Amino acid sequence: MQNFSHIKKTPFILAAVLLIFAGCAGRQEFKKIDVPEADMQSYLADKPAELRPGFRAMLEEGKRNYVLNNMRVGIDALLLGHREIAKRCFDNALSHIEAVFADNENAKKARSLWYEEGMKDFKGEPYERAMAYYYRGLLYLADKDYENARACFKSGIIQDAFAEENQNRCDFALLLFLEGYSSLKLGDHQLATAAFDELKKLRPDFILPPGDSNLLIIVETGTSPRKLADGVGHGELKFFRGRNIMEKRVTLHIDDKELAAYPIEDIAWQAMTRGGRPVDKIIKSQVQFRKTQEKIGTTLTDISSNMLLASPITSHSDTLSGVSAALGILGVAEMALAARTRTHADTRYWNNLPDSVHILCLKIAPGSYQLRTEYLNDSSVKVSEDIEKIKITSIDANSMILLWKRPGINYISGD
Amino acid sequence: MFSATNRELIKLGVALFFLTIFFSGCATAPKHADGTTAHYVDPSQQSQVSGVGIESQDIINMTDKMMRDILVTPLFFHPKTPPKVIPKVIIDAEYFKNESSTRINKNMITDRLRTGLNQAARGKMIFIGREYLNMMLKELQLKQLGVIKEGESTSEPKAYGGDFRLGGRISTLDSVDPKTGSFARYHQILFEMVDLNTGEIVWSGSYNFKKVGQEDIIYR
Repeated sequence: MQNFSHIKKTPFILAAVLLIFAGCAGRQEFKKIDVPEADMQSYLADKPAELRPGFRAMLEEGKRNYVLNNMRVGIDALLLGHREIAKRCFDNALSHIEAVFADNENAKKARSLWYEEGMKDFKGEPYERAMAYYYRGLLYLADKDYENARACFKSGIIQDAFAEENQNRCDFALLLFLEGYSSLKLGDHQLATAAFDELKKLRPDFILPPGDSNLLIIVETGTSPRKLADGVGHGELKFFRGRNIMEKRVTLHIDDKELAAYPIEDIAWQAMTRGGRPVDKIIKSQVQFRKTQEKIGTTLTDISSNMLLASPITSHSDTLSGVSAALGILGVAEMALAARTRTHADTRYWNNLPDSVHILCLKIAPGSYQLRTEYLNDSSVKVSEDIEKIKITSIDANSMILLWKRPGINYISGD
Repeated sequence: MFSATNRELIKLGVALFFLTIFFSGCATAPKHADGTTAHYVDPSQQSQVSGVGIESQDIINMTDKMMRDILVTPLFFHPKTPPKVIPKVIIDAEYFKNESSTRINKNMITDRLRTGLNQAARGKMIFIGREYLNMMLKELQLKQLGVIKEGESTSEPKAYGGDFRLGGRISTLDSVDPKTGSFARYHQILFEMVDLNTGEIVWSGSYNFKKVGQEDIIYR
């Protein structure tokens, strides 16, 4: 009888052992690289103090978040006026985005049952990749390198095409406009017209910029689109608009002249309307595997319990309890296997992107102006405003000045 | 203690139990891969990190091809009647346009072409460094002011005028298939030598290539 009770306990002891093994089965933990503090300080020494947290993350999170951290620090650098750092960051991000990850070890792991999708080196969803090209393109525009700016906008358009169900389609109006505008500044009127024709299909009410416009104002509002994991096993990736977005429209007052900025792009809409991802099918099959294993495990342990209960009243109680123990072990093992399956979708996202982008092109004489920017809500009620002095320098006829703005922040090329 | 059947069953159960653990593993965060010591690689070969844009091997191959082509062009190197004056050529990126979707420093192409030709020309061509014009004028001014005594001092600038100048265009055609994650980029890089006195295109060469790639499914 003593021996029999030992058999009864066996599956439960093993279950406990399994649970210990399965203890690491919740969300996958991504450990930071242990960088010696002296090395870290040496690395951060020449970085601006406000950007150091971002650069620290870049080193500690390594290759897996290299693109993401460069994207984030790139925008922070731009917001703080560190243009050279911003350029380097976006160049870093784009060099990885452009590399074809056809044989990447982490990508292989991210496809497997035992690792989350977040195991892969981040390259972003198409809207994020397109925005990386957008920012690099803006920096080229500011440097009056219109050819490379155009190359960036064109590449961003290609990234957007990856998000569309139909081949070679793009609905990223912002990038089409900027491609056309770069061509306009280069005097490539045929290429400008081709891009603007595409733009007009998407934004028929948009008034094309005059060829001699010399000031391009870009105003970004709102907070970045978000990614959340939903569904069974958190395997479904869903996109949502950012939180607490008040600003919907932008009106600019240059001295006493009131001008409405055109809301050319809704970044959240770009994120939310992408077609289904092929990786979703992989995760779905992993969720199915997990459910099947759980079901088998539960069934086996149920049978095991029932057999154990029935064993004392049969003439083969010893055999039955043995079978029960074996089935119990198997059942627990199946459940542990299910628990080990990592089905959580990758929810890392570029969290300092805007919600919307508004533009205004105009021709303006060199001089100093007062610029008042009003941010309005859906009901055209003013939410906030910025007042600042801007100086427009004298430039070539084929050149332009870029004024890039977010509430409370502005950057003007040539400053 | 147990019957033989029971012992076998339990053994089987325990074996499967450990087999399950073995296969499932404990998927903790993997170790970060070690880096690689910086080392030289052949720039004319495709590297491990590769995309569909213009890469070092493309620049080397295209400039080598253009150079070979120019070197066998009679107008420049093997004229039927020897020219009275040596042709003066400007090769820079000023009129070499990038209309493509590839970001590039065009100087990488024109600089390599110019230096390669200059080394091969052995005096049969004069290369004008138009981008150094300001440098030359500054030096000339110092000479004229008598600040610098060495070197030839002239009252009039004697910068060479060019007879021929390089022009060209980089253009691309991109295609993507969102379903398969494959994409292709066709590059057409056109080089032309223009007679600066007549506008005649006296030599043309083109270098075309197409690259295709397919991302891992996890990135599509």
